[in-house]
Amino acid sequence: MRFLRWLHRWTSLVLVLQVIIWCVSGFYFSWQGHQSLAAHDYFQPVSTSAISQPLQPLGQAQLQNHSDLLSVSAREVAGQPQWVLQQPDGDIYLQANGEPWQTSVEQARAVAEASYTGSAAVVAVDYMPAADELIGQQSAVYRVQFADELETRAYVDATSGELLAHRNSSWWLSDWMFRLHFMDYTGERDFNNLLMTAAALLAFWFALSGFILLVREVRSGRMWRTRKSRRA
Amino acid sequence: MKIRYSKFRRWHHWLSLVFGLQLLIWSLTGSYMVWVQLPFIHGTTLTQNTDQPLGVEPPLAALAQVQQNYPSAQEVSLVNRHIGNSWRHVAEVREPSRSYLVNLDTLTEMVLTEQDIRDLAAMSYTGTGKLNNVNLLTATVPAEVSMLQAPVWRADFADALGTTLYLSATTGAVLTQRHDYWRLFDVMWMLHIMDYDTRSDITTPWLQAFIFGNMLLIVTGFVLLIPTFKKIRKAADKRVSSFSGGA
Repeated sequence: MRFLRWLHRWTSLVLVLQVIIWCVSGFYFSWQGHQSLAAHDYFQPVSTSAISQPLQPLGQAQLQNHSDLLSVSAREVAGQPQWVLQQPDGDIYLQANGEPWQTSVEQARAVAEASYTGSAAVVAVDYMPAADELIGQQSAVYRVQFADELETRAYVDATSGELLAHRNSSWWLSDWMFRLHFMDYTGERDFNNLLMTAAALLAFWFALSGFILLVREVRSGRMWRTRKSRRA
Repeated sequence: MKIRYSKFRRWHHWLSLVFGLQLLIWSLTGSYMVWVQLPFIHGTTLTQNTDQPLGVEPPLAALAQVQQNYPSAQEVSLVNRHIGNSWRHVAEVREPSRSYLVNLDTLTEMVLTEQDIRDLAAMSYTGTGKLNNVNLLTATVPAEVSMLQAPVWRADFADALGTTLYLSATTGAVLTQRHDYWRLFDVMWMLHIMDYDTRSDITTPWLQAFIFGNMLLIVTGFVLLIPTFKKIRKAADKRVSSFSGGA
């Protein structure tokens, strides 16, 4: 019993700061909710409309450079026809005439606006070779900024013209709360990391030892004794 | 200032009686969720793509006809899917509310049979268990796939994981997969966020009250650590003084 109390005390010495961090970040998640954590305050899925122009079938010649095609799809991005060729090593995007697809500033802006439920106007559209706000994003993007109080920005994939994500002024805080909660300071959202798994087990032992001590305290009757009766 | 440790110890005990069990649950459920690998939970390796490559000179012109006949289509795709015991080129049409397949010869919507679904489910599955039974869910979907819309086929496999694949009744595509470790993860998540009803609301005042209570529990525990800190410091001072005394 004394040993268990000693162990509980020394485990807490190692862990107390992290348990406080878990509580604070957990409270932040609960206070913000899923929508704000994802920076989805002004977000809606981009609803693509029905294909409006008759399809101009791709010529076989235009497919010859691409073997092992798994599918060929026709759709429209911001009103412009687009072909998507699905290959085992990734998708390829073409214009209606079979030329490689290139997202324009105007298209990026239109896609961003279609994903935005706020009333603020677009203040800037920037082409960026990489987006450090997006986890795991390797290729170029457009950043479309809105003039709202949250400084909302929508990211559009330059390769495909698809909407990637929204970010806003509280994103950095949410990001750090996730890193702290999952003890993944690289920001890669790897919550199976070694530090996390080790700390989780230690925390379980810590809570369990406290629980055992409490059960003994209750069963011994010490919990219910008042100060007066203790003095007597 | 003199701290009355007996008072803090009493608070620490009573707070642990009220809130401490949840701290134990958080650490247990949190441990499970970080110890099992996330891709395994998602079951991404349980299934594989079953469509074959389109091959040389795929019937691309047919897509234009399909689009003309189905003007509300948002997307029209040419795929090579296993239907009617052989691979064939079909068009997959996506509309706002549903997706379906269109026969390229007749330009009519195709109906998948139970055997089609059995074949597609068995080919998609990468495990070793036998396909037990398939069920068409026409009205409602189970809670574990609440994001899906009926009609879907449920395909259960006899393996150690209790694998279930969910396939679209109209396209035959595997929509998602579930297994017992996923189901346990879902229970752990429910206990972690303390939403026993929908298992998704993280904003309940109930949860926030328990977080607050546990913060008090930790702060009172921290105060009880002060004598230990003092002891450590005293021991360190002693070591320093004995070192300088020896010099």
